[in-house]
Formats: sequence, structure tokens, C-alpha cells
Amino acid sequence: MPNNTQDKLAADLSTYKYGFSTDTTSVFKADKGLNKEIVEAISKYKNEPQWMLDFRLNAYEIFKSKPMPTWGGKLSEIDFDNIHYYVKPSDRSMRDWADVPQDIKDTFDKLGVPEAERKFLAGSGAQFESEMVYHNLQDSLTKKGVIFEGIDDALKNHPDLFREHFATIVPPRDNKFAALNSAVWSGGSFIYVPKGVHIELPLQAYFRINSENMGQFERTLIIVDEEASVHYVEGCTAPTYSSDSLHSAVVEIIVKRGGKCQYTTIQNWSHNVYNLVTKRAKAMQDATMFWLDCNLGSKLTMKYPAVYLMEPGAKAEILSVAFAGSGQHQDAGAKIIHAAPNTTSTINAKSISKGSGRSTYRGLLKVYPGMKNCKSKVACDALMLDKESRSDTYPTMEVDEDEVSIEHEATVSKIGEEQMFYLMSRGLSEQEAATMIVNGFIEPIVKQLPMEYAIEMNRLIELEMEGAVG
Amino acid sequence: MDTNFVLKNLTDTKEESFAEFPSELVIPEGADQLLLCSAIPAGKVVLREGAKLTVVFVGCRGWSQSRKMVFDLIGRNTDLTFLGFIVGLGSEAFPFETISNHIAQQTKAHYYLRAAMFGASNVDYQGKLIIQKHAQLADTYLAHHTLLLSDDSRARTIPALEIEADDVKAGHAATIGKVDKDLMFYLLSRGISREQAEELLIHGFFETQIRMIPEEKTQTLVRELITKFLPSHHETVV
Repeated sequence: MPNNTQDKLAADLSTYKYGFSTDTTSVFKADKGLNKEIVEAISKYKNEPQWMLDFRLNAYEIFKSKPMPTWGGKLSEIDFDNIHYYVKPSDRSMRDWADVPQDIKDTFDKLGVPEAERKFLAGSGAQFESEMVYHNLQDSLTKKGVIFEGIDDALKNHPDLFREHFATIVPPRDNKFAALNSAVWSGGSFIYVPKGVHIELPLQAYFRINSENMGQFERTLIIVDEEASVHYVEGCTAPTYSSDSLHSAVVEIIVKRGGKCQYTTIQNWSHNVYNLVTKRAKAMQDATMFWLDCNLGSKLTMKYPAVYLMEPGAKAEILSVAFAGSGQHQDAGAKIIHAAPNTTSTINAKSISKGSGRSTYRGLLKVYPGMKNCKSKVACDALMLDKESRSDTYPTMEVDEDEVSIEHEATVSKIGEEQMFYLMSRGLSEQEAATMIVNGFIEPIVKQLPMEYAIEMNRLIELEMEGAVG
Repeated sequence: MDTNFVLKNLTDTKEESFAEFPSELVIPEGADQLLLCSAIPAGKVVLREGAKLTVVFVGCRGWSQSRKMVFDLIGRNTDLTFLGFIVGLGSEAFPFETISNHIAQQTKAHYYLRAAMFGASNVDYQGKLIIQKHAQLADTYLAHHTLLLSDDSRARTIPALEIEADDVKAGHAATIGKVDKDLMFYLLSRGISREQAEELLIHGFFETQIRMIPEEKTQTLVRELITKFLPSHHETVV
């Protein structure tokens, strides 16, 4: 590495809280770029069945044939030929923490994963580069038949369950990046919650990108069987690197009759990551799907968690927070499809733009003909912190049925002078006052987070707000 | 209405009618005018400093190609109010887009659109509010309320906001649904037929917005037109 790059890296690392990187030895690293051979090599290396190889190759063809999206953020700078599509850090998944290599452990120690796990979490799968290296699930849950595994293991251990649901919610043809993920996916979580089982504590996985120019294409599949419930937490903190990397995940969730699923994300990729994610859930009769989506990091995020309400009584709730600092573009939103009568949905999106940051809400609410008694409420609020920032709102509503009740409202505002004056007259500095107002603005959403995440979230906001005023 | 467009001065009694919408309509400095339209024109309206314009659109006849109406608020202290009233019948379609460009400081643009959709009619409205970087103290708002009164009626609404200035007031709201069930029950319990009750509620739905028209004569005209357009009266008129 030339000296100036190293200096730049060192400078980046010292300013970014989570910007450390650990020297890791990769056991297998695919060459840069994407072609048919790479896709075959990934599949062969993972010892996958023939149908998966065919699926990948088919997806690769679709990826090649689809044009880049022309809406949303600037995607022209992504160089698909300059990315490692597969890196495997150590040779196998381990369930015992003691077996995990020390250098990888150190990275997680810095993130506080083991501590959180000891105290609070029911099970933890941490994705370090492309594979699950650590998996632990409380015995009681295993006895109840809960499956919480790395997705590659699940393909081997539960081939029928896997094949029945895989790519049924997000087919490769869905969009260019879903096709890319389908071709080169590796790593991610697989969760199956059997009938009637309630998992009280949140399941958690931490994702990190650690190898420079390594795309992370994880794939998560969650199946919540009838009358069961689960809360899955995904946190992302990536170390800082000097060149742009790409993260393109696919998350598929099926919530069967009467089931409940909450999926919580705190996305804090470093500010050079393209985060282009397809997240979608299908809710069956009387089922509830709840997305809680917080986007703070990345250079560009394009993510619109979706819920398809397939049967009567299904319910969807999407809460999201986006914070766009200087140079960032958060193009986030929510998508709800009412494909059955008597379904309800709520979207509450809050965004904050600071410096030259741009936050965009892009949403879709669709009610098909004949879907009577659907109710929906969409609210988006934006807060702009200075003259350079930009905020956009594009909520689309398509309603083809008359027996419905659909409401939408949006507001855009800046920090109130009276509020600032009040707080500063109580002895707070301008910085503290502004941070407090921002934290208050997102409070209704943050309070839905598990406690330690809520604390982390408030700290991240404090970090982001540094130098915001004055 | 004989012609498609009537431009009135609210300060005196001058008015001007035209069938073709000009490619660019300029509202001069300090003017206070009202533009009455029977259809959304494709065209551009420029508001100069201190100009005030109220656009009133009342229609029951749709069109097939989407139309775009652009408002450039180039002067300070400009004030635009857009009031749309749509009664959709048969298979009439109302695809249109409005764009307001807030270019100067202290500009105001408020859009209110109410649509009562019958038959297989549909409204497809995209309202874009763009506040440019130097347009501080802009005040912009958009509300689109739709009543879907039959199984086949449809509504699509995209209220978009693009904001690059920070000292602004901006918002939008939209509702889509049927007439209020409680109100309907109240009227039915008073012995009013369902058809009559629905008509009363539709009038009520439009009335809140009719009162925002700054000129009483036009208010009366809009009320009359809506009554004429409603399906219970429509057959006799056409």
C-alpha cells in the first residue's frame, strides 16, 4: 500500500468511532469482478446442490439483462468489476465462542457483542465478512424446535424447508440488485420459529464489512409459523475504508396465520458504503409484521422495507428513522401492498438532514380492487438542520377500492428558535440543545428499540450531531 | 361556463376570457387575480413580485393525456392558492401534475384538491412542491382529499416535496375513502334517503374548500356547477 493511502486510512480510522479494522486471514477469496466462473466457483466452494447453482446462474443472467435504476440516488459510481464477490474468513462456522479466532473476537469485543449476548440475548449470529463464524442459541429454544443458523448451514441441514421458501418473496427478477444478490449471495441468517412458539428475547446478528472492496451479499430468510412470534435485530457497523464498497442484501420474511415478526435494523455503515437492500415480508391471516428501520450510515442507502398483506386481518407497521449527514443520501421509505380485505397498515417515517446531507422518503401504498375495509395511515416528518441540507418526500398512493380509509400527512421543519432558546436559557450549550431536540424528534421511534439499542442510537445521534451548530 | 378560462382582477371588475391557455401566463407585480378553469391546462404561470393568484378548477370532464401545470414563483411575496374541485363520472380520467417552483424568498403556495369519484372514473394527481436553495421563508402546502363513491372508482396521489432551503414551512396531507359512516347514519336516522344523504355529505365535503375562494360570485358559481355535475342531476343536464 502506498504511504499516502496508509496515511489517509489512518486519518479516517482515528476520526471514526467504529473505524478500526482487524487483520484477518481469508481462507478463500474470489477474484475481483463478476462473471459466470465466479458464480460457479462460489457455488462449488460452498458445496451447494445443483438447483442452487442453476438458481445462481439464472439470477446472474437476469442481473446482466436488467438496466441500472435511473431514479433514487447516484449509482453511476459503482464499479461492479472492482468488487470481491466472495470472501470466507475462516474455515467453518463455530457454535462455541471459545473456538472463534482471537482477531475476529477482538472486533466483536470492540462492538460489545459478547457482553450483550451474555446479559441479554437469546442467541447471536455474527456475520464477519461473508460467513457466520459464531452461532449460539439458547438450549431451551433449540428444544422448542427453533432454528437459528447461518443460511448456508440451513441449506445443508434443512434442504426442504429452505427450498420451499427461498426466493419466494423476493424473486431474482424483482430488481437488478436482488438479481445480483441471488447470483452471489453468501452468509446471512435463517430463522424458523415453529407453530405456537414465542421467543421472548430478541435474536441478534451483527454484520460487518471488513475486507476492502468486498461486497456483502447476505441473504436472510425468516419463517414464522402459525401463532408464533420473533423479534430479530440486525445491527451494522462497518470499519472505515478509503474506497467505496457495496452492500446488497435480500431479506425475506414469511409470517403465517396469527404470527408476529419484528425486524429491527440499525444501519451504521461507514460513509463510503452503497447500501442497496431489498427487504420484504408477506403477512398471512391475522399476522403482524413490524419493520423498525434506522439508517444513519452509508454513502447512499436505497431501502424500502415492504409488507404484502396477503390475507384478511393481516397488519403491517413500519417505523423508520433516517439521518443524512454531509455527503450522505438516505433514500429510504416503505412499501405496503393491501392484497386482501380487512387489512391495516401504519407507516411513520422521520428523517433528519444535516450539512449537505439529503434525506428522501419514497413510499408506496397500494390497495387492489375489491380489498374492502383496508385502513392505512402514513406520516412522514422531516427535520432540516441547516441551509445546505435537502429533504424530499415522494409518497405514492394508489387506491383502486372505495371501501377504504387512507390517510397521509407530511411535514418539513427546522429546529424551532423558541425551543433552542428555552433549552439554552436552562444552561445547555447550543450543541447540546440541538442534539436534545433531534433526539426528541425521533423519540417515538427509538423507544420501540430494545434498551441497549436505544442507548446506542442516542449515542450515534450525539456523534452525528457534533459540529452541527455554531 | 362558455369558455375554458376566465381571468379576473379582484381589485376591479376587469375580466378576460380565453379558450386557449397561453404558453406562459404572467401575473404582474402586485396584482390580485383569480383564474377560473374548467380543465387543467398544460402550461406555465409566472408570478411576479407581490402577485396574488387564486386558481379555481371545477370539472367533471376529464382528459386522456397527463397535463402539467407549472407555477414559477419568481418574485418575493407571491401568494398562490390552487383550489381544485373534481366530480368524476362514467369513465372520465383526470391525470395531471402541478409543479410549484419557489424561486424567490417569502413565497407561498397552497394547493387544495377535492375529488368525488363515481362510476369508473379515476384521478391521478402528482403535486410537486420544489423549494430552491435561496427561497427561504417559503410556505408550501398540499392537500388532496378523495371520496371514492363506487366500486370501480380509483385514486392515485403523489404529493412530492423537494426542499433545499431550511427556513421553510412545508407539508402535505391526503385522504382517500368513503363518506363518513357516522354522519351517514345520523342523516339516515333522521329519515333522509341514502341518495340524498350521500349528496348532502358530498356538498359538505366540497363546501369547506368552496369557502376558501376569495370571491363570493365564484363561490356561488362553483356550488351551482357541483350540483349540476352530481350524477343525480347530471342526466337531466346533458
